[in-house]
Amino acid sequence: MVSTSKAVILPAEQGVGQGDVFKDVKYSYIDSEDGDSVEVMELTFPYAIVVSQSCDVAYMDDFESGETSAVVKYMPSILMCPIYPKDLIKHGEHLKEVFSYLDRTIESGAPYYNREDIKVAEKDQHVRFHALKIDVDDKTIVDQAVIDFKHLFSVPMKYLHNHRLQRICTIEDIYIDQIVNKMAAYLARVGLPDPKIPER
Amino acid sequence: MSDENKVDVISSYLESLNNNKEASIEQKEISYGSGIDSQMSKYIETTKMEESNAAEYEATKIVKCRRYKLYKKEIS
Repeated sequence: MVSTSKAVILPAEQGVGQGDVFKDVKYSYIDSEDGDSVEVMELTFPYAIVVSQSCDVAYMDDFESGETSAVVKYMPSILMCPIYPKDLIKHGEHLKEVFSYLDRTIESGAPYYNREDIKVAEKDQHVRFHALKIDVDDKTIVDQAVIDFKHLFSVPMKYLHNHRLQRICTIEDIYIDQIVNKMAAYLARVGLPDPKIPER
Repeated sequence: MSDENKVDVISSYLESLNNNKEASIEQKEISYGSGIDSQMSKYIETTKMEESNAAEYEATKIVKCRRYKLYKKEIS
């Protein structure tokens, strides 16, 4: 059974914080460059959650509001994790448009989040995936969703600050702590060499 | 709650934000604890996704992608 994260809906005036869930988050990067132009790849994640450290996010929100300017605390960007609908990631379908732009094809039926992953994630024991259900009071507003810790990306605080109307809710402290701790464990994992493959 | 209904909960709530920005602003201005329950009920119960919008909405659940070129210009 999926554990439930409690959340609140904050007024748009309230600053951005750790645990904020945004919809339609744009992330872009320069894919190539020549003397005259740059080619930009822009991904729009359907939903994403702020996972940078809480004080850092609060500081950068104040920085964006012009309330502070301590250089030692400045951060160029805020870390986010995408949230995907469970039914679309089973075979990587959520990335079909990205792969199309990268001139790659997704192998038909290729497992991405298989039955075993679902079982383990819904027991809250998966290293990479976090099965997500969000309640505001007693109402479920997000369900059948999955956070993929491998797809971390970052956006400038200015972007989040200016798109606060796209914040759908904010996950309460203890629940976001759980998510961030899982993310930290995933990032700290050690990849061991396969003895059957010669070292490069 | 069936799986289908659960997905509806997500989509109808977000649809309402998409379709009615003013309403979502008004809703967000209500402080937490004062009538949020009824607000949420309103979003969940009143918005049943139209069949014609289903494909379009489904598309927004995947990671959308586009590529474009920007030409450089010095800004003084």
